[in-house]
Amino acid sequence: MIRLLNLRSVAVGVVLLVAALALTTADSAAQTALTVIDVKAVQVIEDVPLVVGKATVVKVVVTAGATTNARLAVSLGSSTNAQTVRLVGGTNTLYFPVDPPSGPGTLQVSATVSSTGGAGGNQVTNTVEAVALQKNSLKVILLPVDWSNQDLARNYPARYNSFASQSSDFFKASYPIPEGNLQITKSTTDFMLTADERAIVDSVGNLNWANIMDMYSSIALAGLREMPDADLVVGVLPPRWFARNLNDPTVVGLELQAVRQAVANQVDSDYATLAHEAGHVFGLLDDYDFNLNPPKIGDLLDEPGYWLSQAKVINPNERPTYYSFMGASDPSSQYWVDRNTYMAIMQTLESGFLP
Amino acid sequence: MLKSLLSLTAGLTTIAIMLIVAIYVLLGLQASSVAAEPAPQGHGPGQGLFGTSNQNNCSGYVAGYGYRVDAVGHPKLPSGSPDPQSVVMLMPLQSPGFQPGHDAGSDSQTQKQLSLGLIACALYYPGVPVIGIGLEQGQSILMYSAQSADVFAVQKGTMSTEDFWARVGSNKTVLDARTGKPLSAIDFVNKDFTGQQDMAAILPPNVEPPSKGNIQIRFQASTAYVTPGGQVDLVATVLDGSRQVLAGRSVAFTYTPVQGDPLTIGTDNTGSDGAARIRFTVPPDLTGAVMISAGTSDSSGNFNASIPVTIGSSAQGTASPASVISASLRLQGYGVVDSSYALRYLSDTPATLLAEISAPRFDFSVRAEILTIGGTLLSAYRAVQSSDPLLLYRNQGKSYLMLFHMERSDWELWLAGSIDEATLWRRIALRKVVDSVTGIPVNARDFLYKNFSKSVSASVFISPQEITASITRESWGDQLRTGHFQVPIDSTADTFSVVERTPSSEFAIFSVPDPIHPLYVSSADADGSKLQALRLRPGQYLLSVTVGNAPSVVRLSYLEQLGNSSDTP
Repeated sequence: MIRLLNLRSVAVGVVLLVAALALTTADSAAQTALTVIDVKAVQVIEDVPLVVGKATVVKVVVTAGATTNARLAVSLGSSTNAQTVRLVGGTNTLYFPVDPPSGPGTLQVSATVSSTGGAGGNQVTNTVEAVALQKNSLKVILLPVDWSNQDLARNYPARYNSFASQSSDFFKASYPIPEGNLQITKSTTDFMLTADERAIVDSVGNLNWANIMDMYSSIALAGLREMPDADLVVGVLPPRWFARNLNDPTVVGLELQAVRQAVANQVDSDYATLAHEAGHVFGLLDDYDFNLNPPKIGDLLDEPGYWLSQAKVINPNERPTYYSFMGASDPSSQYWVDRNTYMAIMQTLESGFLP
Repeated sequence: MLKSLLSLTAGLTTIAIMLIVAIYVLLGLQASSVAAEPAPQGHGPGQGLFGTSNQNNCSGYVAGYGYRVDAVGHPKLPSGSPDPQSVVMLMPLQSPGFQPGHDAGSDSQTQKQLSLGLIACALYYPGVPVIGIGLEQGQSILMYSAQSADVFAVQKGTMSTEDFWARVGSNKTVLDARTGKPLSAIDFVNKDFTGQQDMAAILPPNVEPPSKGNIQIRFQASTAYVTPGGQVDLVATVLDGSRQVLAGRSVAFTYTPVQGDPLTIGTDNTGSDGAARIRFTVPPDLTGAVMISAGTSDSSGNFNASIPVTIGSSAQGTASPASVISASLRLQGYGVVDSSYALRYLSDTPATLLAEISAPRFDFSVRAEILTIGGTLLSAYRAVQSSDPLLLYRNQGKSYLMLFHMERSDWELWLAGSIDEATLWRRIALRKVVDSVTGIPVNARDFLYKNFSKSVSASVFISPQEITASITRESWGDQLRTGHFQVPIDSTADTFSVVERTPSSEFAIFSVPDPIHPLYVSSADADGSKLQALRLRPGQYLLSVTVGNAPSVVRLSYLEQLGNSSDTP
C-alpha cells in the first residue's frame, strides 16, 4: 500500500515537473518576444515640447509575441510608474500617467518591459524638452447674454451648465496650459443688451457694424466688471439668438475678433467653441475658408494626441475625422488641435504677451 | 529695380480693374450663399454664419474708426472661382477734405481711410499678397492697390511711410463703377466733381452701394420717439436684387422689449408700391428703447431690417422735445448737430433739426434719415403742419446745409398707403443748399443775398453732447449700461466734464475695438485735469462705470467739433 502510494506520488511529481517545465519554456518564449518599440511623453499631442505643470502621460508602444502578462515601468525625469499589464500578441500602445514636469529643461522619458518575473524585455529611453510659460494661466469668464424670460424658462440652467462644462473640459484638455491654471468662471447674472446693441441689422437690411461693435464691447466690459483680470469674456447667447435677430433660422453665429478679448456664442454651440474663440485671443485666425470651392472646413490633425481626462486616444488616421479646433466642422467630425495651432499658442504663452 | 516696380504697378492696375469688375458679381453670390456654408463648430447642415469671419472682421475693424465697408472679399477669376491671391474692399470715400485729382497722400483723412482698409485686409486675409481698396465717389471708384507685405513692412518699420504712399499712389486707378473701365483723370474731374457752384456738382451723388442679395427690405418707422400707449406707423418696402419693388410679399413685424422674446405686431402683404404697412400701438406699460423689426422670406433666404425706437414718458417729451428727439435719433445712429444751428437759419419753425448726412451719397440710408428726422419732428410737434429736416454734407473741404421740407399731409398719405414713395419724394422739397461758411445759397446770385442775415456761417459745428453710463438694479441682476458715442470723421471731441457722478464711483472711456485698455481712467485723475485735456479723434467710443455699486451713474458733457480735426493718420 505504501509502495503503491509512493509510486502514485512519483507519478504525480513527474506530471507536475513536466507541467512546470512546460510553463517555464512558455515564459521564456514570451520573454524573448517582449519589446518596447517607442516611448514618448504626451500632454495633448505628440512630438511637441512639454509644458511645466501640465498633466502628462507616457505613451509606450510595445510588442509581444503572444498574449501575456508583463511588467512595464515608465519614467519621466524622476517620476516613475510601474504596472503589470496584459499584452496581446502583436503591437500594444499603452498610456501611463506620470507627474508633470516640474521645471524647464531636457528630460528623459523611458520605458522598460519585462516578464512578470522581471526577466527579459528591453528598455527604450528618449529625451523631451519641457518649457516654462511666462504667461502660465488664463482667466475666462462666461457671461449669459440677452436671455429673455422665455429663454430662462426653457431649461436655461441645464443648457448653460452643459455648455460651460463641455467647453471647459475640452479647453483644458487641448491647450498648452496646466489644467489648474485655467480659471473658467460662470457668471450667473444675465446681461441684457439694449435695443441699439441688439439691432445688429439696420433699417435697410445691412449688418449694422457700429451696433455690433457696441454689443461686443459692452459684453467685454460687463464681463470684466465681474472678473477684472479676465483674458477672455465669452458672451453666451440663448439658442437661436442670431436667428431671431436676423430673422434667419439658418444663421447660428457671427464671427468677429475686431473687439479684443470678447466673443459671443450661442449656448447651442459645441464643445470646441470656447477653445476656438480663445484661439482668436492668441491671434489665431480661422482655419476654414468658405471662399474656396469646395469650401475648406479646416485643418486635419497632423499629430496623434491624447485626451487625458477622458483617457481618449486621438488618432488622425482613424474615424471619426478630426479637425483642429480653429476650423469649422461637419456633423460627423470631431475636434482636437493640430501642431501649428498648439505651437502658436505655446509660443505666445512662452513670450508672456497676448497679441 | 525700376523695371520690377513698373511691372508691379502694371500688374496691380490690371488686377484692380479685374477686381472691380468682378466684385459686384461676387457680392451678390456671397450674400446669398452664406446660409448654405459649412458652419463653424458643430452645427447642422444648412446652418451657417452671417458673413465670413474675414469679411466681418474687416467691416468691424474699420467701423470702430467710423468708416463703413460696402463690400469686401476675393474677386472671382475668369473660371468663376475666388482668386486667393487678392482681396478687394469697397468703401464710400468719406473724407470731407478730399480733392479730386490729388493724391490720397495729400488728404490725411483719405490716407487714414486707406490705411485702415489696408491694415484690415492684411490682418484678416492673411497670406493674400495683393490688396485693393476702392473708394467710391459717385459713379467713380478710386482704386488703390498695395502688397500686403508692404503693409506689414511699414508696421515693422522696415519701409518708410513715404515710400509706401509713393508706391500706393502710383498704383491708383480711377474706374467707372458701372463699367469697371478706367476713366482718365480729366474725365474724372469733369464728370463728377467740377468744384463749380453748380447744384449737381455739390449735391451728394444719387447712387446706391452694391446690391447684397436677391431681396432687400427697407424699414421705416413714423417716429423715433413715442410715448407709452402712443402709435407708430411702420412701413416695410421689399425690393428685388435690381431694386424693383415686389408686390404680394408677406412681411412680419415684431418688437422686442428688454428681457423679452420678440412679440408679434402683425403681418401685412406688400402692395403695388412694394410696401407693407402696419400700426404699432405701444403697450401702456412699455418704456425704454425697444427694437422693432420687419422681416420677409423667400426661397433664397430670410431678410430683415430693424430700428430701435425710444419709448419715453409724455412729460419728458413735453418738457424738452428737442432733447428727446435728438436722443432718440442718436440712438438710431444719426449724428445730430446742436439745434441752435438749425434754428439760426429756420427760426420760425420749431420742427427742424440738423444732422450730418449718414453716408456721402444720397442712398436709401440717407433717405431713411430724412424721413426719420422729418417724421419724428411731426410726431413730437403735433400742432405743426410741416417739418424741415436739415442735412449737413461735408465734401471737398466745404460744408453745405441741405434744407428739406416735408408736409404733414404728404407724410400721412404715404404712411397710410395712399401715395407711393416716389410720389412722397417728389413732394419733399429740397428748398435750399447753403454754403455753411458764407451762409449763401449755392444756387443764388450773390447780390440777392448781400445782407443775408440768417446765415449759419460756420465751418466747424460745435455741438454740446452728453453721454451717460450707469449700473442699474434690475429684477434679473445688476446691469452695466455703457454709454456709446461716436466722433465723426474729420472731427474731435473735447472739453469733457462731469455733469453727474455717484459718489465713490469711478469711470473710464474706451475705444470700442479695445475695451481692455482705457483711454481715460477717472481713478488716475483726482483733480479732473486729464479729463479736461482729453481730446478724442474720430472713432467709436464708450463710457463705462468701472467702480460702483448699483445704482450708480456717470454723466459727462463734451463738445463735438464737427469739421475741426487735428487728426493725423
